[in-house]
Amino acid sequence: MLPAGRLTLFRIAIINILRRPARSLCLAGVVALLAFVLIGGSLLANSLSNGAANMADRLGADALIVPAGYEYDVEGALLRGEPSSFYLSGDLVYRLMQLAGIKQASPQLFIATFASSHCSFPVQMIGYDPQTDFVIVPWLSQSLPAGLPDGEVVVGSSIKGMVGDTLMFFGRDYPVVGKLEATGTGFDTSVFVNMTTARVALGDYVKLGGLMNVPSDDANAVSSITVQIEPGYDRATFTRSVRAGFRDEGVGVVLTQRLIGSVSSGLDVLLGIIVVLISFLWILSIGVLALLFTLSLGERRREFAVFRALGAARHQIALLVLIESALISLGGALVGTALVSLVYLSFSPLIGISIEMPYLQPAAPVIALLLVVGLLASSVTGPLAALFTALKTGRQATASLFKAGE
Amino acid sequence: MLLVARHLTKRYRRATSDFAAVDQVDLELGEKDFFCITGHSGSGKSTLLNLIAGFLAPDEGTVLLDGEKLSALDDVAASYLRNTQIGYIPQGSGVLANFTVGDNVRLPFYLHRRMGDPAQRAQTLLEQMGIAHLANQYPAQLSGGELRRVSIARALINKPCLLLADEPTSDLDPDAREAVMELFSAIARAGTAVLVVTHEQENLRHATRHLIMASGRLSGA
Amino acid sequence: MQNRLLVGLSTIVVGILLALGPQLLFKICDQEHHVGHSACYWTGQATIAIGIVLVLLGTVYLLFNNAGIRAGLSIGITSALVLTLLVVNVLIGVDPDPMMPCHTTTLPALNVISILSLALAVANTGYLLRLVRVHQAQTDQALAYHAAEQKAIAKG
Repeated sequence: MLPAGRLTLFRIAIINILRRPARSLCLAGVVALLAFVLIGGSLLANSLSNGAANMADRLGADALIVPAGYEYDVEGALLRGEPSSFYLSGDLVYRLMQLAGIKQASPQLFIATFASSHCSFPVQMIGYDPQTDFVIVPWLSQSLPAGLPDGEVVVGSSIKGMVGDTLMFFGRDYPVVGKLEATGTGFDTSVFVNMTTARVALGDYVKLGGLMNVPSDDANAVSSITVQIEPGYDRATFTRSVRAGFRDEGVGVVLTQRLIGSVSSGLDVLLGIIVVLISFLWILSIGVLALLFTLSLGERRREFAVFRALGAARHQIALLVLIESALISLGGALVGTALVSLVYLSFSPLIGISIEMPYLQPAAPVIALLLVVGLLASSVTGPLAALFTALKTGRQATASLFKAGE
Repeated sequence: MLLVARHLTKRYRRATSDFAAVDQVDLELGEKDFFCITGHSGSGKSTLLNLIAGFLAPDEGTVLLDGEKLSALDDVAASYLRNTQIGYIPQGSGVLANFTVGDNVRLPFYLHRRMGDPAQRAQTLLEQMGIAHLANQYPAQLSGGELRRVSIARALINKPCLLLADEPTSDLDPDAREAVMELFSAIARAGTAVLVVTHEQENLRHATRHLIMASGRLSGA
Repeated sequence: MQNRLLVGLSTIVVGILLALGPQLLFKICDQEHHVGHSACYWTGQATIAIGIVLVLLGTVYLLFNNAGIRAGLSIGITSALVLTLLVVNVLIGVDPDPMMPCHTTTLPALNVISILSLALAVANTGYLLRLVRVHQAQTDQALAYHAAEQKAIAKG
């Protein structure tokens, strides 16, 4: 008995696709690759933009005063989560905070924990002054409105430890009272304590042999001073005054605008490269698919001649070709989208660590939108590529499609 | 008359001059007629068949099928006419390799909007051709003779009034050739007009009339 | 032949990747705890075992032409890959520290390899089971035709 089922153009297209798996897989593979690169590139670009925007939000300060020669280290700590320890003496701090042009200033204390084994990574401990801080307090107050008590820590999103856990630093236990959202910056691999707690930790650090740069007998040493400059006060003037006034005392200045600017310009270049690559690949894919469709449809001239001989109209032939190309394209786009979702989202943390730039994966709705748009954009590639050939095949006179039998 | 062709002419350009592949051909075919057209390679017999089927537009002359002037129809109407009134058996087998034998036979039914299910008619045709047991096989698994029968069954699915066959027995052994020509005779006796283009003289004894094509011109035997 | 070679060899490759990957390529970092090895370590041990099973299944797959037998082996391969995902994510898991290499590298690598292989294994199983059904239907049809022919000859 014959199988049931109407042989609609759609079903005919599916049969043609399934009976020629090698050809179909080849065409779908090109679209899958396009979808992978298109969506992967978009996710990467979005994550980098997010990270840069978040960094600009989080930094808060206009300038950071640090020991001379440690400008790169503070950049590393803030942008790439590279822990380090460096200090300014307490006496310098008092004089620096009296400089002209400063609207607000607040000290911070950085301590890098030890790497206890080959498997663990040092973490940045950041101590802040609750009375004067204007960078970390607004952020922490969202989860700790009453402030951070002595002896307790708030951890960044990438630190192992949840609220209620206890972490050990320099031989002392610290209860975790808060965990911050991801920022895509070095704050994600940092733990935050108030200044009192930080000084205790610094003492423990020294007792355990941590000698890096710690000024001896200086209970008021800090690592940096975050500065908000008076509105209208020229930043270049401020920088010059710091360098001139403290030339021989080992003081350096990092303007956060420059920091953000260098990240932004680096990001712009990278985003530009991504956009160019994606555009190039898209055009190339359309070209390759058009060529493959033309070759494949050329081989199928006799098949289409038979359809015409059986009474198929020209538009039906064109429609059949377009349906086939759309189905193959959709299949390839779905595979590419599924693949990039799996690979990119699984390896996103590793990508963020390796890229050494602020990196923050977008929220789920944004990811979903990028996936859908990428899927649709890739899906139309096949029909676009096949359009010309489809119309041409439909138009060719049936007799010319048959081999001359004379 | 079912098929009336008058002064059919088709010219092609070759190098510096035109030549007429079909030159002022007149032809009439009625129900139960079984005509064979023979001729040397290049005589224009396949071009004539293509003109009658409406695959080619004539430079001069007309083709009337059941009173309808083929060249006056647009592509959709001409395709519909071809689908409903003409059964075409192309040279070679013309069986679609991606479809089973059963799907090949049913396919023409679905090319234009129709009610009903052709499964029963397809089954009947396959039984008449003696290949019902091959319904779920693919063409690659069939012999040349079996493929030709599939082609014939497919051509008859929509009960056409005219059956056109271009070299239907080429590449077949004598027994298969004889069987195919017998089938055409039976189809003609049942009421369908049959026009076969062939270069094999052995096929002629089955036809009710033998026509000869030479240098684009058609003459009776 | 194509299916036999393609699936058999790729199963062997996946088995080797699962067995040796966590040890050599996307390395686990076994941090000794006072109670013994970490979760990462035990996951690495489990994937060695599952990898060996997959290599064996892939090797046996190369030896058989019969679609039914290959379908059974394919079900076995599918099950082994499901087990890998369960071990890596639920039954044993990895170190919860999001910065640890086994969390950033080993876990996603094992997940990606297992999920991709699982998708192909499920598709292959479906394909082989369909093949078995089609062969059976064709055999039944041929037998029915032969029986009808014999009957007709006996009658005539």
